[in-house]
Amino acid sequence: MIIEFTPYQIIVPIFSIIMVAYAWSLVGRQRKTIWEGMLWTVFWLGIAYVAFQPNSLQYLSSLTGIKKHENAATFTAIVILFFTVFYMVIRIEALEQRLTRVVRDKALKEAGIHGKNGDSEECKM
Amino acid sequence: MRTCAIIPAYNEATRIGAVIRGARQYVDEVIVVIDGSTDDSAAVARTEGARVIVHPENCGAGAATMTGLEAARTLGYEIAITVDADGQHATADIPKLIAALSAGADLAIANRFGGKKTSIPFIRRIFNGIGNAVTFFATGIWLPDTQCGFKAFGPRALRQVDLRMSGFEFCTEIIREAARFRWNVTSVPSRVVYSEYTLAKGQSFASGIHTAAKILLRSFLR
Repeated sequence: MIIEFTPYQIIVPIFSIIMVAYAWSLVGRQRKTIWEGMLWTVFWLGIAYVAFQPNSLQYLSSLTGIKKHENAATFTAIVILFFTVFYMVIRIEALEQRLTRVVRDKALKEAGIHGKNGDSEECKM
Repeated sequence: MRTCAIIPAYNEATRIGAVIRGARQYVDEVIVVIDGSTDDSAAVARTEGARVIVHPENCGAGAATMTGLEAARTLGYEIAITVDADGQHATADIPKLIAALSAGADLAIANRFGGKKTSIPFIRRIFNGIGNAVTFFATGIWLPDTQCGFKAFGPRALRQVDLRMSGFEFCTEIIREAARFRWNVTSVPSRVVYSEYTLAKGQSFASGIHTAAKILLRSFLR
């Protein structure tokens, strides 16, 4: 029996496997915890499964009532908007972190505590 | 080992003096991080003999705590105890936290629910339970009181900790750091004094939801 796959069914699972491998490389470098690595793995394996077995979404379709293509387009637009807003929130947080670092450095300097390697006035004594 | 206490403070002029006096008995130095306060907190802390670091702007409890930890590292301390400035923690329990570090822990966290009789309101217990559940989902580590600000960092934890979250979510981030660096974490029963003042200073339900959402999203997408 010959089973034919669409390009989508091949590319997405391969991409998912790459993302899982990337997540575990981050775990190895202590940038992610083992727990986060497991959550990430479950998420991407879920994506791979849905890509491989598109019919598995029929349950979701009946659950959400999204059956027509127009509804699916609206749903997709909402998802894209959600990720856009989330990306902006993350960027704002990154800016907040930079600002916090500036405030911290200034505060430590004014308190006579300089640098990260113990080169403050007191440590030099 | 050289030990310091770190007290992040935002408008706590009426309370911080007693907290400094309580902590000073058990540590070599008290470091107070004034987080953009508009009252006399800094003047009171100086009068009490604490080393004072002033954030010119309010950055949040997490940012102030990390500033204190950074200062402790730079000044060569090996143990750092974080204490809330509102007086809810029993500073007399500092030796118990230090003893837990001596027994091999990298991070000792006070457990406000560990005593037989506590004055913690029921709603606070519920919020704390939710905080523990969110922390468990984000880090995989279960602890009875993850949101307590009364903690002791041993030499390894103090050297490695790097908090990025500025707000109250830093408590969960500390547990995440413990998972990341595989610290030995222990929980130490401690007394707590809840009053109308400390309750008014705590997180609201809305800010708690905001904090939980940030923790979950960040832990997943980091």
